[in-house]
Amino acid sequence: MLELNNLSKSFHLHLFDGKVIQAFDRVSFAVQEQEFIGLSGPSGSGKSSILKCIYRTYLPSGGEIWYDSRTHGRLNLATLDDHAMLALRRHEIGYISQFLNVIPRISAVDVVAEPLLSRNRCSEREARRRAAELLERLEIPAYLFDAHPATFSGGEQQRVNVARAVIWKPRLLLLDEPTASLDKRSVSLVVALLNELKKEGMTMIGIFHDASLHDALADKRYHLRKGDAHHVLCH
Amino acid sequence: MINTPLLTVRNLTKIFGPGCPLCLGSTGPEFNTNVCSHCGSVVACGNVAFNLYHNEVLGVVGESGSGKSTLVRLLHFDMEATAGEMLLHSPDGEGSRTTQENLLAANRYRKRQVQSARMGIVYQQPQLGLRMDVTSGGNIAERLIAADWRSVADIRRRAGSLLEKTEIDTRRMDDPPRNFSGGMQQRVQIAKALSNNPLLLLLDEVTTGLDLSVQARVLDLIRNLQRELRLSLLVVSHDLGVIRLLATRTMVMKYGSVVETGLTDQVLEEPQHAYTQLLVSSQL
Repeated sequence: MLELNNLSKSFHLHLFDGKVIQAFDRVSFAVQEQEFIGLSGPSGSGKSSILKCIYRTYLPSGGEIWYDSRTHGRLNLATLDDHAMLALRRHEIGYISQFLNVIPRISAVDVVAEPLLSRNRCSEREARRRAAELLERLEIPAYLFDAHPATFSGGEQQRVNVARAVIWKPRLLLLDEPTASLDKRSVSLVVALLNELKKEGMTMIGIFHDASLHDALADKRYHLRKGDAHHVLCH
Repeated sequence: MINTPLLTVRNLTKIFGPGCPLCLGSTGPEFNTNVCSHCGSVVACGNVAFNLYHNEVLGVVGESGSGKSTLVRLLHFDMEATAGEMLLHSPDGEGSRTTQENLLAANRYRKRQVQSARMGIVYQQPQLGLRMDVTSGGNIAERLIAADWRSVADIRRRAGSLLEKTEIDTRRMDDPPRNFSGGMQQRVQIAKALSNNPLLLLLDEVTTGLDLSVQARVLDLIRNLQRELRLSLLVVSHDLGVIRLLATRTMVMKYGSVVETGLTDQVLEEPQHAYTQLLVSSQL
């Protein structure tokens, strides 16, 4: 479903006399439908940059990202035009980082319902009902549903973030350490949720620092050293 | 794979001054000026080109003097372009005619017709968009009449519902905007701009100069209206926060030229052009 072919990324820093920083160099790997691929490696090895290139938050410097779209056929995300990329973000590809980045004035339940309202055109009442259900499943106390997530603890914010990312059931989900500040109990809730979504057909690529998460979620793990990806584990 | 653009702009150019054949070739970001060294003319917009899609919010950022406000005024026919094309594609039956018609070259009557039937604009200064001494209901009525509304009862009902939508107490419908706060004036402007169900809504620095809390309320209103009415917006702002909040794609302007265009998160997280890198790193 997704195939990275010699993908490279470097940053050109104009403010520092055009200094060039190489994030990663010629990375290749493939992801099958309904597979969970784990990415591991030391900080600075380029894991997050790979996900951001797939999602177009970064512009790839070289190589290809072939994606088999459900409705549009085989596309190279490295060169796809902005509008086509936006359409994929709307209907197929989701992204979640460890930070909840939302407008401070919106309640938790609306933050989670929003992706449904803007995408699936479901009614406001239905979207809020499903959002509340998901928050409940992730054990966010009900009295917080109408409060602003900016006032939540780090762990609560991350669970809201997970709920917001999965509620619209993207076909491909890119996860950049979404469980970094969760306690054991919350991690197990998120793991169970992600495994269930995988069974339903979701394909995922996830970055985790904790090796046990790779064991609990990933079908395969690619370990990045400085510059390239090496397939180290398969189970 | 997706629908056609609503608005297509090509080679849009505005030169203040006599102009000469060398103006475009000697101004812009690579020359660090918008003043032509040969004839002294100012190139406010030089060869600007972009597409805006239905239900899309396109942001335009840049510092003062980058040409972004000129761009909006050219698109709204507030001033005459020196050169360029502007095509407004209509989703309904009128399409075949409008698709090929360069509106910048149309006569004044046609421009006015397109403006009152298809566009809305909200300016930074409310006095540009509103008659400050006419009632707020009257301001909206004026625009409805231009769009061929005739029944006084209908107009009054429509004005009331628009003011309600923009969170203005309808009891103040007969008060002139002069007596309103800055945030309220902006909301009346928005109500007026929305009155003809515009295909294209132009927002020029609409929250600049407002208190932070008022700014937040106006931005929330715009976001909600955009989603509810599936509006196509061109949002001009020097404030990256406003752009991040509203725009899905962003265009960066400097010295009258577009230096970079991309998805908003890409432009803000990984700016390509030296100027955008400076702009993003200058954020508070």
